[in-house]
Amino acid sequence: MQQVQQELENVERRWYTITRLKWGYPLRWSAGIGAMLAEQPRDSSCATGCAIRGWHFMVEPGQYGIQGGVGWGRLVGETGRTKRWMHTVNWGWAVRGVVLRTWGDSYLDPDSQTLAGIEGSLSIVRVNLSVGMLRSFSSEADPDWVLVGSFGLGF
Amino acid sequence: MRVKIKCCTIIFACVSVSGFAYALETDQFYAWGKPIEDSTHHLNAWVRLQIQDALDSRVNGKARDCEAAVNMIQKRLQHSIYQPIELWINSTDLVDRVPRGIEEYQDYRESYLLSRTYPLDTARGLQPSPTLEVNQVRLGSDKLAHFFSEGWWYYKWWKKNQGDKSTEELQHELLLYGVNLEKWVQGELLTGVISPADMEANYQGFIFYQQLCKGEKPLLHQEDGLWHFSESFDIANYVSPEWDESWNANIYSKKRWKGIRQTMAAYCPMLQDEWVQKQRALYAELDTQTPIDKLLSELVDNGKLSDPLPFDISSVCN
Repeated sequence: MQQVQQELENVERRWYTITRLKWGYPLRWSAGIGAMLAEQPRDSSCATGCAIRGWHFMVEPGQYGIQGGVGWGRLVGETGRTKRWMHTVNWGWAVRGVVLRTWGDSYLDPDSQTLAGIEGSLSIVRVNLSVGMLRSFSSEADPDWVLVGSFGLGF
Repeated sequence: MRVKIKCCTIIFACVSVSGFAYALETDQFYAWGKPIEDSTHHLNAWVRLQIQDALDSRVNGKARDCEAAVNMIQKRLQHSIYQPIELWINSTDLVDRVPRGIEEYQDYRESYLLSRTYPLDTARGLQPSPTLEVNQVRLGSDKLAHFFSEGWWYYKWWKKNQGDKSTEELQHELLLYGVNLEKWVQGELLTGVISPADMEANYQGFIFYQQLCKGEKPLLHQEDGLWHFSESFDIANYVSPEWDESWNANIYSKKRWKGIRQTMAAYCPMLQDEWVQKQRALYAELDTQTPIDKLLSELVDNGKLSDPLPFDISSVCN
């Protein structure tokens, strides 16, 4: 009993790298990288699977812009041989506040504008689906509110 | 609007498919002859700590009655997709298991029973469960997830359907409900596997949830308004050789069986191995006819279920 109690109580804060590769609107192809801060038993390992939850951030450059986000989420994933890269996410969800800057020939009008809003993300057996609602800061933007979405791999 | 409908459809499809995450598969043949330390004490400790912590959490004292306390326990032990006990087993140093560590896991994934696969095989997207040992019985860690998760589903079904049925009638219908679960997203539909061993674990989980408040000595008792979990809980009381899938054969779909037969046949020479013979003799001694065994025999006799016998290693090797 004591050993289990000690293991559960002896926790530490760890950063895990999170990534995703997606296709969506309005970034088209994009790749995200970020980190999640989680509290976990010191002796536990995520090599073959574990559950973590916590605050995270992500930066995601894409074909038609770049997005940054901060949020909270939880996931069940594996780091495999890497110590801290949660490369396989079997299940997870996240809610993020995001800021998006578009450029080039983006689908938006005007092409270059800054938007901010909220994004929800769901990952099941490595597949990720994200949907968000963002509002433009540009006075010329039409419409003001934009529904964004993407589909890919990762968290 | 169209975009919204499409998004909703995709979300729905993903959530629906996630049901199969319950159905993690396991392979006890892979662990044959490999030493595994008994984990009964660690598992008991984990369950006791989790339950007592749930009872002592901020809502403690607000559990009006025993059933309300059971609901608090269920929220801690039973999650929607991945079960806490299985996640703990996978990440702790304390529970001995086969495979253990990333190298062994890699080998397990490449050679476990379901490793010979086909395109778009849903079962291969999931991580296979390791084998551990409880009171001399080998079991997949998925069985403990079944115990707390589907055991709860059985318990909910039983509470909802009591009515004025006799105990025998109710039990029969409950077990049929379990078979149907195993035929649908929990097994056959998504992975092509019906596992009597899973059903045994589900049923024992149901008994556990029942024992929390019922019987001569319920596992929960109240002292000075606070709920306590009994020290007498022992997971070994629920585990039997029926939980070992190398002993209690699964029923496989034709498509699934093609690959499995070949992998299973590779274990035939091991039937002569001293460790395997000793373990199977022990199982033969401990095994009894359970209500699940009885029901499955009836269903097989009535042609409503395939016979598991051809999928047993003894049939494969003969």
